[in-house]
Amino acid sequence: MQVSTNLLFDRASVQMSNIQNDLAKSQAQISAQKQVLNPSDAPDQASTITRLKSMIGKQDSYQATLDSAQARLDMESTTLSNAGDILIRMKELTIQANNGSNGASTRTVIATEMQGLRDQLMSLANSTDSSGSYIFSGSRLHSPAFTTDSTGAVSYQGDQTQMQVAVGDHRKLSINRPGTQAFVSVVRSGADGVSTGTGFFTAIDELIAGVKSGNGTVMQRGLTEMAALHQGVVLAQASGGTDMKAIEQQGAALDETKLSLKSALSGVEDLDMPSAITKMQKQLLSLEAAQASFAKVSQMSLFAYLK
Amino acid sequence: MSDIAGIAGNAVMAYQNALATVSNNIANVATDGYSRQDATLTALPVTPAGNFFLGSGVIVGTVKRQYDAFVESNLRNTTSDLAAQGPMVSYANRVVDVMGGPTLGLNNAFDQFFTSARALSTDTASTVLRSSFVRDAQGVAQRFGQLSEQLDLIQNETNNALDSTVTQMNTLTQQIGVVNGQLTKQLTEARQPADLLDQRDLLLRKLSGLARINTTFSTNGQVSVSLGSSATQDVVVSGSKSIPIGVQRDAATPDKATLVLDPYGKPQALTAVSSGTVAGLMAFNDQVLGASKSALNNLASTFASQANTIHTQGIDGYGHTGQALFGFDPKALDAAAGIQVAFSDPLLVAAAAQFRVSENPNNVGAGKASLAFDSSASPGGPAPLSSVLVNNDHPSAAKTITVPSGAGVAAVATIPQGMQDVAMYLDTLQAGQELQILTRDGRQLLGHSLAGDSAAQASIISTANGFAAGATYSDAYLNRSTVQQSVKITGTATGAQSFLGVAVAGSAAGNTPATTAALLVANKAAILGGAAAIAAGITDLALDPNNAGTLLVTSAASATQSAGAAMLAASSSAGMQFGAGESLNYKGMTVFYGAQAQVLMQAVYDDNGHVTGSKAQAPVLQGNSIQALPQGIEANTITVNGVALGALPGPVANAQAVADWINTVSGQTGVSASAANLVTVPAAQLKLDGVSSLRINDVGIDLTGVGARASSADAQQALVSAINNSSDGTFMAKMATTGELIITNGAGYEGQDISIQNLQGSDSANALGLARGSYRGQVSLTQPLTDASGAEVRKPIQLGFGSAGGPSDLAQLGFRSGAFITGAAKDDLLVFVTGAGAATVSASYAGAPTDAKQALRANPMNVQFLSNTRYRITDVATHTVLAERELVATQLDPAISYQGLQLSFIAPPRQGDQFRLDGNSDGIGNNENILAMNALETKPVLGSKTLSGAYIDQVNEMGNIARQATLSQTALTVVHDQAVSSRDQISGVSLDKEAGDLIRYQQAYQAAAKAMQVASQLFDSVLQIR
Repeated sequence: MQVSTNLLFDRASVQMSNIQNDLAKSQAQISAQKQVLNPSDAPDQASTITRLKSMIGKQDSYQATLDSAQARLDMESTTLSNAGDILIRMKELTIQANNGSNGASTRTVIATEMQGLRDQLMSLANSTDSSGSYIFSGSRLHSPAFTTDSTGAVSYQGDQTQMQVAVGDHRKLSINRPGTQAFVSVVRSGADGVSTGTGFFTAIDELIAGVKSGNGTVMQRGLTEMAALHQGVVLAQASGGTDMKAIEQQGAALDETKLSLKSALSGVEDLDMPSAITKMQKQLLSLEAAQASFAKVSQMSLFAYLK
Repeated sequence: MSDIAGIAGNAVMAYQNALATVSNNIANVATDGYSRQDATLTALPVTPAGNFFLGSGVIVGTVKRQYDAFVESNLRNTTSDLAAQGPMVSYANRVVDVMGGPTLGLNNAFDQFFTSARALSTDTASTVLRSSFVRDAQGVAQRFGQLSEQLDLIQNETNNALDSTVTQMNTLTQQIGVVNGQLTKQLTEARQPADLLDQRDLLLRKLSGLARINTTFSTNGQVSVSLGSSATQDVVVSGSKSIPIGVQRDAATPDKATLVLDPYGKPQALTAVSSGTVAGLMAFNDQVLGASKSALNNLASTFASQANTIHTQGIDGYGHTGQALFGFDPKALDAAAGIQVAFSDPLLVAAAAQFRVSENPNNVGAGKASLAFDSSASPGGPAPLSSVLVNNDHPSAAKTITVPSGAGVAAVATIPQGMQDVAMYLDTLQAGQELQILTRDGRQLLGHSLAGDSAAQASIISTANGFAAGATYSDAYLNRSTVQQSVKITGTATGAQSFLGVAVAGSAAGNTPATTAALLVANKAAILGGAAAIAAGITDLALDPNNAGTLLVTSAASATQSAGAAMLAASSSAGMQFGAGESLNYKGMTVFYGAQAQVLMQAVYDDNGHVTGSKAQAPVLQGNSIQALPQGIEANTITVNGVALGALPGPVANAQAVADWINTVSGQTGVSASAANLVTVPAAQLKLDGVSSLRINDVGIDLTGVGARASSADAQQALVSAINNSSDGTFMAKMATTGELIITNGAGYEGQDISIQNLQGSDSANALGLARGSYRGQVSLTQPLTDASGAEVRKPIQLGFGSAGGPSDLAQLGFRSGAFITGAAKDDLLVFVTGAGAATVSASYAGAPTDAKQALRANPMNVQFLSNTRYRITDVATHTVLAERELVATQLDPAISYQGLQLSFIAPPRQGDQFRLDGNSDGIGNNENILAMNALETKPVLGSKTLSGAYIDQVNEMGNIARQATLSQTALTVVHDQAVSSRDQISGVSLDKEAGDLIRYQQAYQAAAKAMQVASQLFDSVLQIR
């Protein structure tokens, strides 16, 4: 078989440039420490990497959601715990006032303290978060939860919306409780047997008026009602506590998911250094061999002997 | 003797040529397309020398070009195949790197968008989070645009590459044509100059790299080239002629290119180009670029439409329904290039749900209500009015509705919410037939009360007829032609009382509410006469028969239909309170069933014919001929403007008797009735043949000479004169301006019947062409535009039914009755016909249906539990009871469904609990809609794939195509290399071989020269012989 001189040179140069290409790619892989440099190198792997990265990002975003939910619930919990303490004090005061030996002046003193506590409760119910949103107004974040009109009647201005946020692909958590779920109304049975609801602050206001005027029936009723009101606040706090516990658990679950995703990503994306370096050494060696052999072969010409 | 010198000379010459050939080979060692040449040495003919032959030397027979047509053709084909993969590999990889790379890929943008949405869901009131959501939505839109731009760049490049490749092809084919021309000079290929053939083959090889070619060689080496699969299909070079190729593109679809043969001559589509760079570019355009672009556009439009669907279902920061989040630049060529965020105001992000439920804080039950809206729910029922009946209330356009005698009811149509001024007429009806119009929740608005008829209620109110499940019947809003409100009076009147600022006479201290209400009614003349009452449009006061102490206040239909509270603003009294008025009209709608004549407005023109205003016309209600009424009419059958008429004893003499009867209540109604009898005979119907005779009211008419007139107009005029001449005064004839002949009563006999027959009193034709018989008169009602005080009152004449009447009673009196809805229908209304038999229904209407959801949002509703299970849905603005139903409490999650709204409870509500449903115009903290937006991330919207899943798969698919092309390229390179080396084996120059030849020929040359020298010496030896 005859090998033309042209072919000899062409082949040698093509082969050497091929080895050089491979070498450059190995070098780039090693310096980037990544297996896949361009999506076109390995489309399947590239799409897996994209999916995994997107899922990891999603876990991070869930974590951020958890953090802000936690902040809101912390705020709510603190407020409710304060309200609970105040209600306990009010209960004590009601018991004191209910003592028949109290004179009018003692009751006035008690009523004054109760009035102060009631105002504190009002301000707690109308607490706002760092961005000025009322936390017990449901979704009407810009209006105070409870307002007092000109006649002194207190009404709830929020709504019953309970906002939920997604903290996992299939997990949602409530991040607020409407004011009426924490500052509950009390149920009174009328003479006709029909139950009617009476608002939190209305019940307290009526009790204070009863203490002022020394109305034993009202004070007696207030005592039971105060327990119900306290119970309502405690239940709301417990419900928030449950949500916080869930946040904690969900946070741990997210961390675990993220870890497993990351290790999967590392398996697909990261370069196996020892084998990559070995491969590069091999390529270097073969390039050297190709160059050396070409140098020798190209010197071989019959013309060299024509002297 | 053979000539040594000659032989040697020839040999020197021959070897010189051979050496020249070798050195030519050596010189052309690197020349592209050069084929090695071989000098073929041929022995010269022998010459006979005695009985043997002597050789006579050597010459170069021919210089042969080393060439194998098969190897060459194989090389061309493999070149085409290999070149076809080139564009696919390089451009497809670029597409994959652009779309799949982290900087330009869509995934990051999608992730960012949904992350922002999730962040926003934690605090929708935050303008910062809203802004970043808008920004990231813009990010997605921009990313689409960038990707589209990148793909367009690649498109441009491949377009240019295709254009330049085609230009190269044209140049090559032209050159081949020129070479072919040169080749015509020789008859055989062997005699052609080798370099010309080399040039031909080089051009062919270059051409085959651009497109696969089919070659046919003629004996002299000329080649004809075709691009098709056969030698004759799509010929581009034939002899010295070459045919150019062109690229055609449609301006609308720049990515679609087609090749055309001979674009400036006889254009012809070129479809069979199978490989080569051109085919590679076309395949890339089609399989990768086109597919990627259409996938990207599809993704952009799907994303936009999905996001918009969700966004427009929400409520923005201003309390309005969300706008579309994404729009498309109309100037952009495709969706991906044109997608853009429709707004930049962060408050326009619709994060909140469109409906909201608020519990009354004093609710006893731990209901925890939640609300959802399902827009897909179709309520069913009869077809919409506009698709059932044409908008024409003339009886000729009517549709027959047959009520089977067993069923007792037939559905007609649904009047969709928002239709304006609907009038529906029932003609050719049987006694007892009636239109019944109800809401989907069983509130009857028009027709005859079904209150006592539970069988009829049951047959009408069913979900199959379009009613809501569990709907109950109520006639509280039936036939309210004026605005009626009920006002509850509480407390005890202790002093002088006033109502609307007008003192009520006759009140005494200590009145109970019931007495006070009765007193107000008793003294209503004083109240109604007061200026305040007129200002508020109050027309009547009555006691509510169902509720003691409740006053029914009626106002004119034109008056403001505000709540009663506003009406009572001016009222004051000591110890007595007026409760807020409750509208007794369904959502304030004015409806009427019966015969009605509206006040018409007539345009007023100035001297120049311009409209300057309008003037009211007193309403006139004109009836048709009455029917014979032998039994008379019962009391309380017919009402005039709401006032019931007493009994009309039978037999009824004529129309005048009916008019007189109606006039008995003129004092209360303001409506005056008159009777007339007009028998109208069209000119064409007259039988003026000289034979037919005429007798009217038993008076024979002398028709002498009437039929003999020349023109029919003259004949009619003569007939009128003949009748009037013969008349006994009870009747007369006249010509109408429209050409008809009219027989009517004479003065003093208005409304009486007119009998018409021929002189013989037989059934045969009379001169008027009318059937023999007694023709009855018509009743006409009018009402002045001013009331007793002289003020203008624009109210219609309304002829309705009392408790004993129905549409057939009005039909007997010659009046066409219908159901009228003034203004817009405030709810979907279902129309039925009750009573067995066939009747025709026609309708007129205006306007168009409104968006039910928007109407629902605009009108807050209250759900109140009357007992632990029974609830009532009330319209907050008008206090209209929209529905009253039972809650199915046995369900796990009890729920109330009203017009697509689903109100569900965790625990069953208790008696007295109230829930308010509204359009959520201020719930800025509500995040339901943004959660729905978030769910789009995992929602399978493209087949079974999510948005980013579909995108990743698309990139992956393109990657696999590119990968496939790379593999093919590697395989084909091997094949091509083999073809190259095969050709080189034959046509290539090897320097070593040439060196060998060089030495060989040089030595032969030297030997031949030596032989020459020997010959010379021999010659010299001979010469030296002296």
